[in-house]
Amino acid sequence: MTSDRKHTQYNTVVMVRAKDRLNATRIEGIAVEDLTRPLLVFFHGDAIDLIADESSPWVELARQSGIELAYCTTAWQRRRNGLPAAAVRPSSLVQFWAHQMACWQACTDPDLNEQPVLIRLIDAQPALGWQERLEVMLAAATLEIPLSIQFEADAWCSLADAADQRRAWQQLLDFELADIEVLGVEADPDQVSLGVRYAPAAARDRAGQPAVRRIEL
Amino acid sequence: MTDKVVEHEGRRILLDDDGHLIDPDDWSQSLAVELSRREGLVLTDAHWWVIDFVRAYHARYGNPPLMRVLIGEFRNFKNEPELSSRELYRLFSDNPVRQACRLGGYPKPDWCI
Repeated sequence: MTSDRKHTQYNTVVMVRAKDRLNATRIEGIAVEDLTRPLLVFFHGDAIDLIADESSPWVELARQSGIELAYCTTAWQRRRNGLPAAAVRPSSLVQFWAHQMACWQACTDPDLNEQPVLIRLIDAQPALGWQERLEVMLAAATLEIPLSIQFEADAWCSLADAADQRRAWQQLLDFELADIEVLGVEADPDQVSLGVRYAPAAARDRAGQPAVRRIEL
Repeated sequence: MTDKVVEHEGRRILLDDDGHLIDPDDWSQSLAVELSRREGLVLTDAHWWVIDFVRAYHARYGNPPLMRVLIGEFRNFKNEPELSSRELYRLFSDNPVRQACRLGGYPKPDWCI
């Protein structure tokens, strides 16, 4: 069971997935504490460990005005027993996306709202990492958010090596839940036949893609 | 409330607290009929189409389909492009995906969606 503050309109929504120190984390080059508020920080994946301890600097963020912390209950239950720090409220990926989209729609040019959200996958992952990233995509698809997923070479090769996970990711293409583009890798005809598009690495910063509707995982 | 054991065709079938099979290999069509009966359902062709689709999807991808996917494919099956999710909820009043997983023999998903 999750609770959420459905009516809060955040100016910034951030997903934290890595166990990075707070003072080493930058979002588009900005320290977390300096992001525009109201700010929602959503913990998912291995970042769940950051909210286990009441004295964590991440948890102490919640003491500041205009900052709220939430976590994915499934990611927590996969890794931990009991409950996280009291200042962090239970939530879900679907709720994360609802807040993220509301934030983008309020803060960006309305003409951009029809464009797909770009999700960039950068690095290799273990199998659970790929499962949880896929869950991020499926949660967005639940809300019928158009998605364009862009793999860097390391990430794509890592997913290709995890055969069960690659099979699971294929549902995104089979049911037109997202499009998938791979950068800087020689095209595999078998993958092309499954719907994967290949592009040179230079396509990474293609013109016209609004940076404000982009997430890196 | 679901019993945790079902006696079926001379076998004891274990269920979890939510009524999902502990062991998916215990599943059979006749067991699905029995589990449905215990939930007050008489399975029609439409019910079976949903159960079969969810089972095939789970076997292929490792997770149940999104409701959005199920509705789209059910519209194709019925050849009724305007069909709403109400039709699926009329068939499976609990939650179409969850109930079809349960009756289709899959454990409660370790899945966030």
